[in-house]
Amino acid sequence: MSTQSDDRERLALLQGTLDLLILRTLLLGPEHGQGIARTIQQRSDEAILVEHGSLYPALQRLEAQGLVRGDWGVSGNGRRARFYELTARGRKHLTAEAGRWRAMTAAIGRVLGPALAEG
Amino acid sequence: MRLGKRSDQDFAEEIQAHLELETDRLIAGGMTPQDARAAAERAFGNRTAARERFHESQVWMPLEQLVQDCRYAVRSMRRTPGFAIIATLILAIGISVNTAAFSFINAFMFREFPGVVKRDQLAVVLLGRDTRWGRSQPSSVSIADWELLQTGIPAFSGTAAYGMVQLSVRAAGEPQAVRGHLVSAGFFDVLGTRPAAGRLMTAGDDPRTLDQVVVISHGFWQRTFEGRPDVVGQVLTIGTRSFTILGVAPTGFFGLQPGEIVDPDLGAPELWVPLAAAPLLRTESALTDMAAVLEDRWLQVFGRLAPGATLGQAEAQANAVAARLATEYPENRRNAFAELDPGAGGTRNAAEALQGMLFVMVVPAIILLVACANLANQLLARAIERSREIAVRLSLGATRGRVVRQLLVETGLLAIAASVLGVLLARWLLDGLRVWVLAIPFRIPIDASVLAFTLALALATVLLFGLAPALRATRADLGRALKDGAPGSGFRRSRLRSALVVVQIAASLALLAVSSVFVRIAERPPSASLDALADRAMLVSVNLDLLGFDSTTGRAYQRAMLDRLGNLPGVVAAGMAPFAMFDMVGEAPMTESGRDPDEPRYYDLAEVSGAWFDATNLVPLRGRLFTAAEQMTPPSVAVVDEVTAREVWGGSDPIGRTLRIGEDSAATIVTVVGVIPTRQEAAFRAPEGLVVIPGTWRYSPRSYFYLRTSGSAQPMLSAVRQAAREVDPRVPIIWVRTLDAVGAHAVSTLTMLASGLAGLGAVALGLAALGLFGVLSFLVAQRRYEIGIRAALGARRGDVTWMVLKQALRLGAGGVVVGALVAVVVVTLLRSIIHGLQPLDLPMFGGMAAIMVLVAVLASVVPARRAASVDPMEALRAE
Repeated sequence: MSTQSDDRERLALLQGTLDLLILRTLLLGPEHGQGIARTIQQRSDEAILVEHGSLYPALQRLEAQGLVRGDWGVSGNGRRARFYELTARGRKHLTAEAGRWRAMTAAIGRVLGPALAEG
Repeated sequence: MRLGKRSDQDFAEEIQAHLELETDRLIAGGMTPQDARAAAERAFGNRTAARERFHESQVWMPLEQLVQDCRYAVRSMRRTPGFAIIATLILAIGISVNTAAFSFINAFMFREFPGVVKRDQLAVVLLGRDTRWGRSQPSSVSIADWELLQTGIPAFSGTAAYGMVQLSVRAAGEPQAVRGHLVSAGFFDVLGTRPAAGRLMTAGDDPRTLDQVVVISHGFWQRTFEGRPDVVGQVLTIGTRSFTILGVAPTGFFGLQPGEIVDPDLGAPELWVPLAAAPLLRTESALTDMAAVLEDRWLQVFGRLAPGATLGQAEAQANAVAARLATEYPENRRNAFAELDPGAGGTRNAAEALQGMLFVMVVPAIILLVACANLANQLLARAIERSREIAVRLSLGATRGRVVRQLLVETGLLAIAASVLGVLLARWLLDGLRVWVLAIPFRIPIDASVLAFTLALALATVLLFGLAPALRATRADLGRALKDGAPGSGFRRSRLRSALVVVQIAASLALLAVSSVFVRIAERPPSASLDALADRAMLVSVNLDLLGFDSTTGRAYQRAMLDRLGNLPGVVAAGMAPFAMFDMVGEAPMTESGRDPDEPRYYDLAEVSGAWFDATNLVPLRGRLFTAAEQMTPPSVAVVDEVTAREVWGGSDPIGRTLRIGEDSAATIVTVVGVIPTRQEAAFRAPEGLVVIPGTWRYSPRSYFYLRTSGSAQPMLSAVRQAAREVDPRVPIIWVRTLDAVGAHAVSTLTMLASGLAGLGAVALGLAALGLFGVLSFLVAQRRYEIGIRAALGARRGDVTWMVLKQALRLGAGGVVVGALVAVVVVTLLRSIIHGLQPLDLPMFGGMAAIMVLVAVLASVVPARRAASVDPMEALRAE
């Protein structure tokens, strides 16, 4: 019971970004969890290491919010896997959140300023 | 339970699929299958955590755990149904007593009264006076005050008045004496009462018809008219006048004074007659002397606050009326002030209500406490039996909080079952109380607030008896508990459990002891002279009020009664007084000659006629009684009792001294001719001194005839009633009772209280015995190993039995000592509040203590035999 609260704190930190990355990945088309993890890793040049264990609860949460839809299917190499695809709401959510994220990072960049960036 | 659609199983499969895909990828990247699998698992992290998080996202956890706990609790109860049943019963008893007591309080303090709308808007108007000794206690008002108050408080949307009267009513057959209220025409309007049949009088009624109508109670309607609808319009003879029945009040309606109806002597009002009829139905109301009218303060005035008006405004207006009264009647209303009592509930303020509530709740609370102590004990025993199971759960990673909660859920289930049973028992208790003890005109409801109270009580009991055992159980040393180390386990000397048993024995002993004090006062003969009469005396109660008698015709009737009854065969002596034996007599101010008449002493004044001294078996200690001539003339002589003699004249002889009785011009001066023994009153009152004078001073329409008979009075009751009826058939004979019955009636409240306490004490004693039995059985079970060793080392059966017995005796003695201390403190406190209570009767208390110890021994019989039959081989092998 006591570890639960720690988990939740960590989640709260990750939540926004991980959700955003998942949604962005699914924009390319339906994908299963392992594929999503791999895509994020590759696209971030391995800079972001997704802990696979936290990916699935995140997917579950997105599904509960109606942003993605999951269904069992068969993977490229013939394995059974649960595939996720973006819903219309997910697409809208992604657009809004991505815009907000860009605005935020731009603002943070402005605050930090060029001098610091050079130094 | 489930919020989402996916099962845990489905989620697990997804994770499995992920691991396989990842392994495939790594193998494709050149890893060996084993390494790939391991790497995939590593990258995934904690699988269980992910699954748990998934599970938690699917359900509402607290509820899920609660359901789990409940299921578990039911399972564990089912394993020990005996415990579950006994525990539920014990707790149900405690809860029912408390629920019943609270229902009572709820009905009369918090709920709306039957037929009364929004009592919180009502306020009673009381009048008092500022005197040089301070403010007098504000009280009810006279009809003259009412006339000004009636229209003087515009902050009230309506103002009404009522006064209690004893009425003699003839509907069919013999006249019956019933209680009624004389009410102002707007009485029912202000209360917002709606009739059950016909209509109620209203302020708009023609004042000329108001002294000819009556509203009857629902109960009276049912009893006398079998609830027939044609009752409206029928004629009822009240006193000597005819009244037309206007309508029927709603079920249970009693007006605003619950204090009257819970008093077994009064009961609920049955008739409501308009105030306009007061001069016909009340002797005092026929008076015209203004001073007498003003001192006849028999009316309760109340009003309903108009929308937007405040209590302060109403009180200011009432005080303006008081000021007008002061100018109008300077003699009797000088410095008058008004006070408003909001809520009109008979209780004057919240603190008083709370006090009353605490008083009512003390004993039930003690019972509940004993029940809880008992259950806590049994739960402790259970917790210890289950210490191994609990230790396993703790070591498997359950947190202590979770296990405590689990145990509390178990006790919570017990408490809920007990509450349901307790509410049913309370219903039964309340109905029984209503039917057998108090004439309450409506069924005391068990409503939402009572149920809320019961629920709160149940939760409190869970914490009270469940928390300590649960904390105790989960504090166990894991290693030791897992080894099931019965010898030397931390619980062997369970001080807590022993303390709980001591508490139970002490509480039940204290309850029994206190009830015995009440039983003794209820049984005690009120005086030696009455005791000597045994059952050879009776009283006849008659009230000439409202029957059209004046003082001349009234006295003639009373003389005729004395004559007729005194000459009945078997009657030895007949006397008369305006009070019933054991009742309050009524004080009068008295001054001995030579003292300042502004500082009178107050003594009870008995004005007696005929052979009253003979009939009550009072023999003078010194001096003489009244002569026949003195009884026929205005009083010139008095007989005083020892208390008065001692207080007024100290050591010197009172005979021949004079006393001035009464105030101002109304006073009379008498010479003391004799001294009689002091009455020991049965009521809770100090003997305040009694002065007896001949009954020729003031006329009282209310009279009690005292008859002393040569044989037993009981068989003569109906003959006496018949004879009394014949003296004047118009006069209702209120009752004819043997002196024993009058005494029993006077102490009936006390007897009720005593038997109630004794009953509860017995329940507590039973609980304590069960508790002791439980604790001893447990100790024996715990000490099996030790007993086995003792037996193996040659201890005889007797030694082992004695060991258990000793334990029982120790606990019993502890309980007796604590109980004795508590009883002494409680009785001392009660004696300071209630006069006439005797101290604890030592032999009786000793007897009760002996019973306690005997119960302790009996409770140890089975456990002791069990201990004695422990087979050493088996006990040692079990370890």
